[in-house]
Amino acid sequence: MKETMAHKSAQPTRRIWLPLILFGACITVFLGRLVHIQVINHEDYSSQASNTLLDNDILDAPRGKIFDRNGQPLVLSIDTWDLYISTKAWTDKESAKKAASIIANETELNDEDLQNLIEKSVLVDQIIIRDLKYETGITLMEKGTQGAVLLPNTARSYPSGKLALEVLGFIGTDNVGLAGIEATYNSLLAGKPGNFIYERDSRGSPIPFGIHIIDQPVPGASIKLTIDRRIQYIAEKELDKAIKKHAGTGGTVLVMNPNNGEILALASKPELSAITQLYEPGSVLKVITTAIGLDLDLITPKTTYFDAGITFVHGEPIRNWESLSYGLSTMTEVLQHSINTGSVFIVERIGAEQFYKYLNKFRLGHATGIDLPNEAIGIIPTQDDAGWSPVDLATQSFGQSISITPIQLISAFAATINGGHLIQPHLLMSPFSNTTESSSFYQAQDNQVISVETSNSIREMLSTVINTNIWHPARPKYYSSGGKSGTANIPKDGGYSDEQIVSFISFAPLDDPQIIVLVKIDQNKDNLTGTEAAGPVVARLIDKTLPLLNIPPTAEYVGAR
Amino acid sequence: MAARQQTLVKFTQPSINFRWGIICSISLLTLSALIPVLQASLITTQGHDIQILKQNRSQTTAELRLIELELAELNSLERIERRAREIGLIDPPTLPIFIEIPSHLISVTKTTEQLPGQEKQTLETTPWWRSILVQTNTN
Repeated sequence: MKETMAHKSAQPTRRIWLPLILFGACITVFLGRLVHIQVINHEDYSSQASNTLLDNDILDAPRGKIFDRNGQPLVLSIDTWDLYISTKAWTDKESAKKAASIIANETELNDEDLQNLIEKSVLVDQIIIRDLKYETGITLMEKGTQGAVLLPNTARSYPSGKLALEVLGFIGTDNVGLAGIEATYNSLLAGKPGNFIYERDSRGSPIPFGIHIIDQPVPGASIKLTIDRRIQYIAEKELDKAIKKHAGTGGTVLVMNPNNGEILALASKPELSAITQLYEPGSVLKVITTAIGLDLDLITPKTTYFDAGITFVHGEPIRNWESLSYGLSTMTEVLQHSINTGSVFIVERIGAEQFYKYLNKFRLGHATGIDLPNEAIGIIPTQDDAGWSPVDLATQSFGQSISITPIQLISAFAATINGGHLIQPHLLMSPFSNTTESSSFYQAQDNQVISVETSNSIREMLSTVINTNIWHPARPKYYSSGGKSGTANIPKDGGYSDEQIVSFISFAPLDDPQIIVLVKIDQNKDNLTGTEAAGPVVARLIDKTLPLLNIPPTAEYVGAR
Repeated sequence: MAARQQTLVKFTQPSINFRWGIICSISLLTLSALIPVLQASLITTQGHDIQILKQNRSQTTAELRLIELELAELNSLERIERRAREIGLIDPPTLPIFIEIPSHLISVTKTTEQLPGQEKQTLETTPWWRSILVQTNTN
């Protein structure tokens, strides 16, 4: 009986331990897997979970503002949103349709296109709109649009429209300055971006108040430019009118303070051609040639020579404009009548070595260092270059066979009339923050190129160009001024074409110059000269600009006409 | 029966004391457990309020920037010129009228204006431009 009992009790034990072993094995496998997931691969799974629930992004710092010299805003930063759609949140078609309809109503997007885009997207968050209007973003948030992820961003805004746009430049989608002042002073304007993370629910929608800023962005510094928006406005309008009137292909208007290099207005077509495109300046360069001759005491304003209308250099004939002959002429008359042979007369006295040495001192053929990117350098063939001949030197004396930028010309011209100081043209007046970037302009300024006496003589000589007995197109109504025209043919296939670039450069008032104005018109189809086409524009600009700078009119001019 | 009543009395008497102790202990434990919950709740509420305030601040800053932009747009030269033409104004004369003012008159006026609490005195002082008017009338 005991044996039977013992046998009987063994049966249920087997029935128990066998399933127990199986169950235990299963539990062990599960536990093993649990340990594998929770302990061994904890980091991987944890990061995967975080990636699904958390996302991080860069919080762009608001860029600094850009003001004109009078504190009027030219570029401002405004808050915008970057609109993303969480593709997981739009797996349900009905709710996706509803959300797409809300977005379409608030933006210019088509709801069906939007749904198709999200369906095809392989991204977790699909970008829909960059720089969405701030108010629209707030509306989308208030309406609780499913799956809409709105990340803060900033955008540039131009309250004055296209005014000075070529100078101001633009930024890329990553808020980095790509052109103009935005590029040059990117480090000042950009500030320091911050970081933030945001949480999402299981459907991918952002959790309200789930944005956590890790690093606060540091806003960029604001800057003040030397540009005067009123003068810039006038300059742009005058340039447009001049190009249209004379059927030109482009042009430049530059207004600068000759005493410190502050650019008051810069307008050019094509954009920034004033600093990036080379041209042969023509007779305007006679001013530089004359200044060199005077500074070396090789000539005086009253030095005379006989102009036969033609001169021969190295066997090559060099003629005056329209082959005119002026007979016995002074150096002042050389500038007054723009006599090519007179310029050749001066440069022959100077000699190649001194001439190029002075051109180098005037920084012609060198970048001026203006605070804009992509400044062109220039081409000035010298006696050291292959293929150079004395004819080149002769033609260079009146601005042919020499390629420079308008900004180089105005900078060199300023030195001839401001007492002989070579100034550096610049656009930054002052940064609002405590930086030292503006100080470099002033360090580079005290560079005496010619003597004060030479500069005074040039001013007087240039006044005779405009203040003649007969009416001169470049003569302002209310201010005394001096200036010089330039009409140069455009080089083509080793020679010169019939197409021309005309220009006029002028300063005012005569006794104490406060502005220099350069007007250049490219390939004017009416074939008028620099005096005829650009001269009147210069005169109008002087009359309109100087009152804005609180410069009273020259007493003897008021009411003269 | 009497014995049973005695037993009941004996049994119930200590059980009342024992329950009060437990109740007090549980209450204390509950209260002490509630403190962190209440703290957490308070912190969460405050955190929420801070988030709302931060959001309001950023919204106000954004709106301020938009107002700045609007103001600047209204002040743009192109808009002013367009509006001036719309209301029939013509180009202003090229040259404004310049009046030469004796420097001593300017400095007196400026100094008086800059002095604090001198408004009454400023009003009593003859404005600098009056002398010009007098001269003009005399002429």
